[in-house]
Amino acid sequence: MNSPRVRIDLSLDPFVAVGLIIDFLAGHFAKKGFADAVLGVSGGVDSAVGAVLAVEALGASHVKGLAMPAGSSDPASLRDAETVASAFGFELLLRPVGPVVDAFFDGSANVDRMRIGNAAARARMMRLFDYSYEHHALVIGTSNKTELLLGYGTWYGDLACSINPIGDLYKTQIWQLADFLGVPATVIHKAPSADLWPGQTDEGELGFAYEDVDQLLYLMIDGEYSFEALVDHGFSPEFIRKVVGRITSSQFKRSLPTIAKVSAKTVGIDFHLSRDWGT
Amino acid sequence: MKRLRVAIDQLAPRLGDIETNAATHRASILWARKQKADLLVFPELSLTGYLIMGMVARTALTSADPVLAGLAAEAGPLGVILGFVEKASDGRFYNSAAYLKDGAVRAVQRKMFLPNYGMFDEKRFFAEGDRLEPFDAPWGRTGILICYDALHPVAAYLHEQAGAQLIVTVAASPARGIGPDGSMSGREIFRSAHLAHSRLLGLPTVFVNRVGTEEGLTFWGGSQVIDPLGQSLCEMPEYESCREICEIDLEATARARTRFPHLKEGRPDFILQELWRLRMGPRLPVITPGNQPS
Repeated sequence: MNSPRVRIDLSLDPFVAVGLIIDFLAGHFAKKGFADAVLGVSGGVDSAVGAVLAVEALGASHVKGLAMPAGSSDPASLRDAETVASAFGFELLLRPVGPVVDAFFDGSANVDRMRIGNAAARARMMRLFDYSYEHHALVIGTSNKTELLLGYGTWYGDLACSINPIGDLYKTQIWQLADFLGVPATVIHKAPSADLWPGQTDEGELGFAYEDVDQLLYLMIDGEYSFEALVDHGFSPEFIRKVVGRITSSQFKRSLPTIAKVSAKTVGIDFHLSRDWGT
Repeated sequence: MKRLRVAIDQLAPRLGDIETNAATHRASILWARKQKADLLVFPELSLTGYLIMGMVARTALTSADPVLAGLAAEAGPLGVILGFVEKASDGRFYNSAAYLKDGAVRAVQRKMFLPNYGMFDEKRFFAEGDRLEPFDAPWGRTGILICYDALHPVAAYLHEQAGAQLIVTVAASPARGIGPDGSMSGREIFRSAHLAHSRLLGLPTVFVNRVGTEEGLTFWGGSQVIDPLGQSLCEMPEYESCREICEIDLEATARARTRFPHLKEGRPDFILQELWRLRMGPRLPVITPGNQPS
């Protein structure tokens, strides 16, 4: 059983939460000396929320969305991305990555859909960071807290970004804030998908529903519940173990690469310097 | 002095940039002097920013440092409380607040309780202060609490027992824990503590929290002044860098203490006795039927 006996209300006061994130984004951009942002807009709810928050913080003319369909992407996704861009008044540039991925794998054998999906995610990352350099724009990441904890993202692909305004929001909280922010209902209510191959859905691939795993993650991570307390709360031991396994095996995606310590001060181990130093 | 004019600068320091922050402090001192303020308060670590981490040694100043002396000279008759990384003569580093007045550093209060959980890692970089000591000022004896100190009720109590008539809490409190109902746990806990200090100790309190962002942290501001009866005298906006002047009626303390006599009942001897018993009790010889004194 994946569902808890009693559901915790994970909703956030939207005025407080959105206000905080907008202040955070505006403050960060100002002190880093950037006026412009770029982000991948997939047609999904996470990038829609990321884009709206950026528009609120920086102004629509300072936000560029890149729509980067791969060969296998659902054409409906691009239409949804266009709907989001026109609803919030930011420019959407079409930069397909299909040809990049095709050229990359030209002549390769044993190419499976995971390799193609990862290559598409990394091709998008290259597009975004190339745009960032060319136009002096910071790359906004839109991985949510559920994905980050479960490691449900491509390392150095969609997980790569300069700043992430929604990475501390569970998927169910993203849905709630999307509604508050006026994201079109079709975008909020469609099945979440990485759109890496036809018919892929997050919940199908993960094997559980966001509504359930968010409850579990909240109690386990934020609430510090023990394994026994989680079982007591109604989650099956199998479900808990599966989620714990995903979290522990994906910690590398949330960390700098491991560095062998040799000296007295080692990057990533005991060289403690804020990236905001001097700003 | 019957009324104290407090100036508050709810600023966002530049992390590690003492020169720029000192210039901001100077501008604020000029403003506060023009406003005829008696006391100007900056937030915790206002000269350096909060996430100093491994750069502690490079940002630390002794209390005799020319940067502090320069600001003290600018302040002249204005009292100034600011936050800095203190380098002590024994080589330890402290998260400290300095009180400047009449051209010199008059007092330094070190942070007593260093948060070391979750996002906080202060014990790695700072030593703990071991003395809470209010200082004398023209408006009365004043005790400083630094952020997490304020969440330990005994700290404010000790200041009051040492004769403090004003408690100033300087903070770098990040926003966190947003609930469905508009609550934000970082704010609620400081608001409760600040209000409790005023009401339970019967004195005015000044709470000054910074704004701005460092790493993923957003400091929420919301500085506030509360009178001895728990009435808010000044409430500053959240998340916005701003300055304000607030007047405190110093005679309200005596009135509050007349209305609520419990405020006079600090009973330090009783508390000392109970603390002594709690600390030393188990170590005293246990008297059991088989172990009767002869």
